[in-house]
Amino acid sequence: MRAVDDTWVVVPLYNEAAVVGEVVAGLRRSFAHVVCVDDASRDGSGDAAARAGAVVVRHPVNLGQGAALQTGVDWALSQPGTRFVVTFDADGQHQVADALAMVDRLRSGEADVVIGSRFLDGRTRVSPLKRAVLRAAVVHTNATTGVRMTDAHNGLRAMTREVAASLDITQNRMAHASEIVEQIGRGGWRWVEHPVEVLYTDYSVAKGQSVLNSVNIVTELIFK
Amino acid sequence: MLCVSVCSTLGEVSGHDGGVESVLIKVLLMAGIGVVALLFVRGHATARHQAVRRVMVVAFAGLAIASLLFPQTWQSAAELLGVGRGTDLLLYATILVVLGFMVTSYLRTRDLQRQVTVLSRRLALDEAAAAQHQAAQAAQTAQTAAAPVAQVTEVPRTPVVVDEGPVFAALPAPRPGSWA
Repeated sequence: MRAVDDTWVVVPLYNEAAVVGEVVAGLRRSFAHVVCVDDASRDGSGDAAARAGAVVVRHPVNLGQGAALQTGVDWALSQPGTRFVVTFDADGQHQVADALAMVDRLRSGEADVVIGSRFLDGRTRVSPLKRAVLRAAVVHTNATTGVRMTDAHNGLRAMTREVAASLDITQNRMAHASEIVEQIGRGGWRWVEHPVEVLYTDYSVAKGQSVLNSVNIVTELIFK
Repeated sequence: MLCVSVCSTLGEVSGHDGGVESVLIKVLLMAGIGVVALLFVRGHATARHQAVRRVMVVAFAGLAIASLLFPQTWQSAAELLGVGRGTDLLLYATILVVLGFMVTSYLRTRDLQRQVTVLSRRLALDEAAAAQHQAAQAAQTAQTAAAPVAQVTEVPRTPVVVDEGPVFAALPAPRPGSWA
């Protein structure tokens, strides 16, 4: 199968050297262009990503995941021939097949933005506490953005060039997920949700967002 | 936390004498908190804000000298406002000032953070674009001159960009058609 070459996959990267090589290699089997935004990792994540075939954009200082996403989007838009932009997590919890299916839905003209949701089918196993926190995030995002989604904090998204160009992520830390939804709502873009599987491996659970981190998200949203 | 301390302060105030005078200090304190909150919502630090801040610093210094020269002023002011003691009034004023300081420094830090972000992003993108360009050139040179690959890849390995090495190695050839 020929790799998709009108799409840039943006992978925000921070201290994921153990898995990012595999993630990038997996992406590169289907997507010709992968850009990892290394957010000043201290464990050589950027080099691992580069060895696996990604373009690596390196932040000189740690700025946060939201900033890394915006940098990756800027890179994608600066490249010739970019029609679609996909955001994808570096810790291996997303499936390349899901990303491909989402780009196909964009290509069919069905929507301008396709947002991954782990709650649309039964594939993803979520612990009760995490489910409660994610539900709360969804309620908040729906209430403040006017966009009704089932999963507000999913890092897997696909969008057209036009939508990517309209994004202006100013929430450097974790609150950017809600901010992106808000900007999609405000921009009047046609969006759909796509069922995706989020794989909670031991690695991603150990590394991933603790439930406590939702305190940070709420704080950043209130004091933006 | 600050809200808690201010609220308990207000509670304490009402516990002192009661009566008309204690309403006065409540109104004053609440107006002060309101001004701070307004600052917070208004956001960006402007030249006017800076001017106000400077006036406040001068006024603060003046007040400090005045309270050294006339220590009784605080006591009489406190009595006028229905607060028990001058030191209490001083405490309330200090809480307001701390609150204002927190807000203004938060706003300034946030603006600074945004500037750092923009600057860092520009730098990161420019470096990556330069690396991409150099890799493209290197690949082209290798093709046209049929030079040994090892020799060509040595070229960009200057001390400054040495850790960009893997990027060059990994970047695809320059012709768009050859990427897939």
